[in-house]
Amino acid sequence: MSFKRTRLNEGVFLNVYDTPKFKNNYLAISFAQPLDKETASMNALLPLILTRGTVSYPTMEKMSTALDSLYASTINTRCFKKGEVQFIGFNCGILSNSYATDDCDIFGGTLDILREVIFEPYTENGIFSEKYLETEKQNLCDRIAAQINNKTSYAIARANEEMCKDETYGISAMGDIASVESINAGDLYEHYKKVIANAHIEIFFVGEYGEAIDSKIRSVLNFEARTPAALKTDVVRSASSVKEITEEQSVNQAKLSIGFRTGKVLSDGDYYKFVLFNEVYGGSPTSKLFMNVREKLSLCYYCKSIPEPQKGVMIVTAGVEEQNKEKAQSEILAQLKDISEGNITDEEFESAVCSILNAYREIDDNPESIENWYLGRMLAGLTTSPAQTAEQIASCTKADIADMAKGITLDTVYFMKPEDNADE
Amino acid sequence: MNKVIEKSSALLREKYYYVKHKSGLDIYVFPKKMASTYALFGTRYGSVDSRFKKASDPDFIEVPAGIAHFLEHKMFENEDGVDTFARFAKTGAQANAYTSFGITAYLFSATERVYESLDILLDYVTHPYFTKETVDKEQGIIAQEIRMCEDNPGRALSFNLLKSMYSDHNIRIDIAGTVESIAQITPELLYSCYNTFYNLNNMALCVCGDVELESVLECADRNLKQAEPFDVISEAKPEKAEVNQKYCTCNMQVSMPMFAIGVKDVDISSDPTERMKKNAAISVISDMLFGKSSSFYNNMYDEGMISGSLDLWAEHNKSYSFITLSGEAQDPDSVYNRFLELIAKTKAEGLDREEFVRCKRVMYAGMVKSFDSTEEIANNFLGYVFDDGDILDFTDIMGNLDYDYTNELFKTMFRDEYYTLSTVYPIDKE
Repeated sequence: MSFKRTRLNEGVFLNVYDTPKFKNNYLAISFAQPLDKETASMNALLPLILTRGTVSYPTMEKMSTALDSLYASTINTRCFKKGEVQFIGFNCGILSNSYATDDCDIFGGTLDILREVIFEPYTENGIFSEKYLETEKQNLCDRIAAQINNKTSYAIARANEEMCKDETYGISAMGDIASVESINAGDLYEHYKKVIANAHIEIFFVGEYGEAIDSKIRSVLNFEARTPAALKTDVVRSASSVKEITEEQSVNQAKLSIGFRTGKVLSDGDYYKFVLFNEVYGGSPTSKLFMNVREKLSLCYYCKSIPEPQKGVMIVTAGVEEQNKEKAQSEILAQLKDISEGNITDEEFESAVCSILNAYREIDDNPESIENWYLGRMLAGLTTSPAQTAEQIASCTKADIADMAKGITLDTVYFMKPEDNADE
Repeated sequence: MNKVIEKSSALLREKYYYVKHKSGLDIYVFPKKMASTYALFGTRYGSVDSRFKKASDPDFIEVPAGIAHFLEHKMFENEDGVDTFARFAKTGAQANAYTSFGITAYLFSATERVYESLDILLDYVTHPYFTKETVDKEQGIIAQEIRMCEDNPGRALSFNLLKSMYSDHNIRIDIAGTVESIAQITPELLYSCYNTFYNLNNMALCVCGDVELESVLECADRNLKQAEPFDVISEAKPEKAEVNQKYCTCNMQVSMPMFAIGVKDVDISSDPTERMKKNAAISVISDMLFGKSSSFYNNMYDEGMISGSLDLWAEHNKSYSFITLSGEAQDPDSVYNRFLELIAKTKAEGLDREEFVRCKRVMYAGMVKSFDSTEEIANNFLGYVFDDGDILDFTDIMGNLDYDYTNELFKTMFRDEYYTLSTVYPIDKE
């Protein structure tokens, strides 16, 4: 295995993770831009409209049939944020040519379609098709509205949103319904041209690399030089006061999501200490939250901590009975205090180290995890590999973990409770 | 000496080893040069096994709904008070378990100290320990798991669909049971289920990763004692061919209506090879008719009738068989009408031969792709083993699937009396 990052052009990077172990090649392209309320919805819409049709494959059915013939190659759309940076683009799963039962060039064929998706979208009168746009706007609005269907993830998203309501991070990577509805085909096409010309570009390949693949990528994904906007995230190091938000929803189980400012971000350089803290606190089935809130007190099925490394926030979430909210909340806070006082057993410490080292080694088995690792490092200005970070983690002490806990402040308590049906 | 059977597939460039261990356990080792080794230790016992007896017992015993899943949770507690997760934590392995309709499986993934983790896996699954106190505690946790699931509209949609499809089959019963049913669970009942189904002759171990067969067998030698012969009868109620009801709906907090269409099938062969063939055929049929490249999907998408993608689920095993398609639509009834029109049209014209060839290629590619993850390999592997099939044979069966067989199957499987529609509508706020 080897990892190599190359600048193809100013603002355009090719990352290659060369490994013989997969039967599939993974190719992803991300356009990274500052998260901004004005453009978030248009950005979210772009990958959707671009995969509706191209010059040679003007309908989704034609494109999908062509991809099927290429041994079921996939071109998936992506839209997510890391910190206050919005990523949009595509990731492709492409069966290795050596598994073709005929002489099909699966990789070449798929990249030709990807090239059209990016550079030659289907247009009418020089702009995106009004009809396609209306369908995709509706689909995006449906997806935004559908977030409420999954109460567990919705409660986490709401806590993040409330905590960072006055910050850029509070903007959803999917945009918002009102601004999606106001987008027209002309403006979106103009925006598309700007993104292609100006966005910071990260191309990722995972698989068995070679001359043919290299030259195909370079010729197909041939972008002009650009000077992209800086990709940075404003960090609030500590909370000033505690916000309490309670909402009623039509649910059986109440959801508690507690938002914290962690005081630590990936670019700090010693973020690995925080990673270890999180594992001890609520990152695994042997963590303090799992062992106490679930196993000892039997209050919930799940209780875990979910940190965001670029923004320096963390949500602790649990599904509980409404009347157990205070009990769960005080236990979640008590466990944090316990760690800050250095109460970590040898067993807890060693388990956490072992578990992270295992997880870091597993990254090597999953192309998306590999990409995700290096995209995060890229934003933080780092190049450390999972193996290098594992060495740093192995050098941590219990005092490091306690220090991390001391730097964490409570920001927002979000509680979703069942609707009061007393009148029935 | 253990007799080792080696089986390989030239097409997939994969192989595995099989050993019938002296304890009675079927052991499969699937070598794969990856960082992570995935081990799965499972029993042919799931939520559908609710009435059973040993051949020599006079009477069947009936157990509360959700007990197989409850038992799975309780296996993580040990007599010495050390939680199983804590034991695995020492080796860095990630442990978990799951219960399905027909399988309970315990697993770990690990990048180092694999055989130590395997020792733990084989040890804890063969050493049950249940007390009144730990059972009571678990009732609180599982009640919260059930409550969480009750708030999941996708789950309500599928379970209502299964209840509409089946009249008597236990697949109608929720895997986790209900808050009321799990309250009836006692340590004695757990032991009774455990002693019945956790017999090594009824179980299998599959280890996929950078491992040596000999070392896996040494773990088995160290941890496993010879099991008694397995002679359990788990009652399978006869199920009629027609669906239980044509329509089922409920209201939940969703942003737009959800629908699931089910096509029930009770024609299940006792021959595993026949089942694999039919399984391959129904996957192809389902992809041809409703897949991402189908006109059915693309037309409805273009017209704005459905939002997002359609989820397809095709199952065919010795216990149950069906095809389902689900998604989100403003008007589920109109989607159902399109479904009926599509079937009528396809029956008149026959399945498209060119699409048949393309879909087979899609299935082949999907098979090859599934061999890039030790987790996926082990889970798929065990699924085939527990249906008396073989994952490597399946690729050949798919490759040899012929059009005429598939087209005939389509015609017999798709009939009005086998369809059902399940919907979840948003709550009307007045």
